[in-house]
Amino acid sequence: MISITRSIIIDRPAADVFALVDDPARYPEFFTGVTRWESRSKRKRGPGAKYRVLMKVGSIEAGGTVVVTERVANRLIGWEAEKGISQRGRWDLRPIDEDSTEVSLEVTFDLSGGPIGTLVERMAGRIVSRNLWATLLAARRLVEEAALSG
Amino acid sequence: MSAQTARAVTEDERKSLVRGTAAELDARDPEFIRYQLPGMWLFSTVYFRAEVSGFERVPEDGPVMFVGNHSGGNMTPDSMVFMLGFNTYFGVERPIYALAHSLVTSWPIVGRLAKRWGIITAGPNAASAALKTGASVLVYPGGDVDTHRPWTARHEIRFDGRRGFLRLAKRAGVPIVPVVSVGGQDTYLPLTDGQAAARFLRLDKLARLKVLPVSLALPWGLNVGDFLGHIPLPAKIRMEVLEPIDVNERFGERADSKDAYDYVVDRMQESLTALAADRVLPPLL
Repeated sequence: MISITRSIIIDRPAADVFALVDDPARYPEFFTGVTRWESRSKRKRGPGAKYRVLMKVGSIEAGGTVVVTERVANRLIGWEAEKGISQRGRWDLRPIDEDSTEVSLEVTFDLSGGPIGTLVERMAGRIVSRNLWATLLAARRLVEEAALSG
Repeated sequence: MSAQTARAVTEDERKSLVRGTAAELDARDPEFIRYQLPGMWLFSTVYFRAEVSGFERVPEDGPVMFVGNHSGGNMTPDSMVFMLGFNTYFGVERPIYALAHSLVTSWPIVGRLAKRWGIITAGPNAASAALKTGASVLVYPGGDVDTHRPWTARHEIRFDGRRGFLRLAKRAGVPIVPVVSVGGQDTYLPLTDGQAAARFLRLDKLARLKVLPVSLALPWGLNVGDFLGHIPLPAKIRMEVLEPIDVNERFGERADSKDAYDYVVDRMQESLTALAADRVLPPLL
């Protein structure tokens, strides 16, 4: 099992950031490596909402179905795999002051597979880590652009 | 009297065949596959630098029949890349069975491992039974003639006129999803498939083999038959999953006709040629 967390500070209130990350339909647009994040349930948000997800990792796309396990408005969203690759992830928003927010994106996955599995978790972990960082950079741009146009 | 005996034997044989297939279908072990995926990922990503595309064209639910060309002699690295791709894209929970020559499944250790991956002994009944359970199947209609084709024919779909997969798709009413790949024939140097030699030695009658391939391969040097396999060179492998073809909708009662066969092979040849054109500096890039 390997857990990767990347964080960034965005100079906007938590509510502005939450507006972006609370809209999973937009994930393929800015979540780097994610090639699909499609609703698979009547529930579109909050605990119980299901999604078909895929991320490009090396030569293949890996994924499965995830279900949202927690959602606290302007604070956090967490999900967990139901089928496919065993993984969980979460957005964590911590207000620094009224105008800025520390945004963390965490992904944990477990490939099984013994020692080779551990090696591949580390290799894939580096790919995922860069994807998460690129995602945070894109999120910062989108939140700031939305603030400018809004 | 003798006719009665003959019928009874046939019935017993049929039952044992069904039992054999059922045992093979049960042998697929999702947790074992999950455990093996990281190693396959290493081979696929690092060793063969594989590029796989098009799985988004596959319906998310229900059985389909993947029809592929395969390469690399008896090592078929592209089959490994496909099984990795399918199992990571859809999850090990979605069952898929790959049909293989009985020589593969009857190997002592390799055969047991293969069966846990969902590899079953090729035959129309086996594939029908798998599709009936709602699983998808992967077939290589060209079989030995395809995978042992000489290097000069590396960018050629060689199905040898075999239409069994179309009869199967017609009977089961499932769509065909073609899969093409290039690069496998650069993992060694196949010189000839030895079809004439195989006919002369009656290998078809003895072991259902249409070929007696001769290649240059590691670690043997001159490799006749490829019965023990070989060490594949790290050539780059490209694979594309194509748009599904519903042969039943398109050809109706003639879903297993020569026209339907030509249609499928032509679609695959078109995409294989395009995929081959993407190669910059084979076998490396």
